[in-house]
Amino acid sequence: MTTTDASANPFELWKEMFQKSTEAWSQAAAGFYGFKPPAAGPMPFWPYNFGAAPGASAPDFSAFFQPMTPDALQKMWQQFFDIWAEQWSKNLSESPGFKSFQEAEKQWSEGLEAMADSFAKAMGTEEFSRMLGKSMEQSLVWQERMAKALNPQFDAALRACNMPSRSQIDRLFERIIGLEERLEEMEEQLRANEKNQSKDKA
Amino acid sequence: MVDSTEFLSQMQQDAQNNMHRMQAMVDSFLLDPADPPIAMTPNQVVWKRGKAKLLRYGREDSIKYPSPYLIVPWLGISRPYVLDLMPGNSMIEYLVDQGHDVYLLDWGEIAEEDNGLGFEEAVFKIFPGAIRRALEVSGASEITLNGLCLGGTLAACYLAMHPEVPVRNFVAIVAPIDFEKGGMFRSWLDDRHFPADLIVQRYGGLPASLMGAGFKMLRPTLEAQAMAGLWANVHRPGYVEGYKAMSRWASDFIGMPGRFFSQLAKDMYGKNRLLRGEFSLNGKTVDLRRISQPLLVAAANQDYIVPSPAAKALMDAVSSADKEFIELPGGHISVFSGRQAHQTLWPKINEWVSDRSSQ
Repeated sequence: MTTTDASANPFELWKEMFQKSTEAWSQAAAGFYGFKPPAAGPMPFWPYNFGAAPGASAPDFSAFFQPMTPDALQKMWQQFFDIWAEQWSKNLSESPGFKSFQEAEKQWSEGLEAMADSFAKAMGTEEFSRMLGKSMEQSLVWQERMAKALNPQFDAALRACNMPSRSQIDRLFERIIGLEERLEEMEEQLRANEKNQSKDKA
Repeated sequence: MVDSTEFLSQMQQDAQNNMHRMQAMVDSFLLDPADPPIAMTPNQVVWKRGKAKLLRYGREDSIKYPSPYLIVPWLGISRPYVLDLMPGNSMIEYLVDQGHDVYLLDWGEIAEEDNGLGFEEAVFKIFPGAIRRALEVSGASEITLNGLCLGGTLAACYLAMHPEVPVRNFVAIVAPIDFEKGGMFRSWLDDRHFPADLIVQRYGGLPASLMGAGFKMLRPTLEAQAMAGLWANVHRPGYVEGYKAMSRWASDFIGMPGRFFSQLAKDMYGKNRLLRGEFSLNGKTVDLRRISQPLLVAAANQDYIVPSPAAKALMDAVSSADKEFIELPGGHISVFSGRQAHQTLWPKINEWVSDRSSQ
């Protein structure tokens, strides 16, 4: 791929970003899903990944969802539905009919409370924590790979537009905080000196 | 057997009530969709450090208790204006009206550039600066420190690391100390499963979106329950304004700095290091037994975020001789910012602090 003087022509800049992002997505996808991108260049890449290319198979996402096995999910939610159903049956059996709208509202509200409690029981389990942690971990690893692949392209684009990157602004903020701290220390020192001087005079 | 006349009469009454409610909903949300004014108690910024700023609410002409009352809320998560939600429903306004010289440490809008902010900076730089300034402005020699939620945890660390500071009283409201008893968050942030390091590596801190998702997961039916409450009370004067203000606040999340989040997830929720006496800041162990100020600990009996036992643990961890624990009805927020707080927590704070302050 040739690098053009993108800053001179917005269309060239857009084209370069498009090409580079395609490369980055291809690299990231190859790393994550373990398949080889079908061809270099932007046009064959996108339809392939949306499953539109003739004869192309969709990427295998099963690795991403690995911890969410049907058995584990069923076990986790079964207890939630059991508790909820039990509570509703109890409510209905104890109050065979609603004499007023207020009673119906009260029943509904109690049902919601029971639902909240059963959610809490289901989500307070070790199993849920493990699955939550594992899903977040896999999502974060995937995002990290994407970021690593794409960030250099964004930085290049920002440089081409003569704009600072996020990390550059963060460093500037740190320097400002450092200066504020120094100023505060100096003010503190001045106040202490003033106090000492007034004591001496007294 | 239901009497048909009574049944029809009841139906007619219900239909009328529901028509009035529907009319009130249309009036309040379609014809007048604007949010009510919030954070209206007059204040001035008296100190700044980075994004943190110290606001003073006291009115010179009405101060009865010269010792500043410094409120330190949670760091990140959400904004502190819930403490001054709206006129008539504001803890700050109440305390000012009672004659206290009230200060609020606002941590500011936490974003990626604040990711280095952790317990160390809060305890060794921000707390000392804010307290020094509050004393200068007020001309007093001592303050009352009020930590709310994680602000209470931070305040406890500050007092434990600086037992010599001029803090006369310590008020800890729904402040987690025993993280083993930290409820659902303790379970989710279990360091065997929760990828705290990966989150910090990826985002630098805990982004507002993840924060919001976490809190909504904690009580998934909360919004439906709030809606049910709204329908039941929509015709009551002032209810809709309070609902709108609280709804706005409840969806206004901000992120948490990376350093602070990492310490919270790994040291606090993961290993419960603070209560075990294993938490260190700048190479020194935070020993809660060094806190000796008069202490008021308040918890809420329906708090899913900081269950009552998690907050109560401070009572046994300190060496204060004068200490009191109260458990009030309500949830994590409603205990200090709900309608009932006006009758429960606020008068209790006023009475407790007044008894321990010189006029």
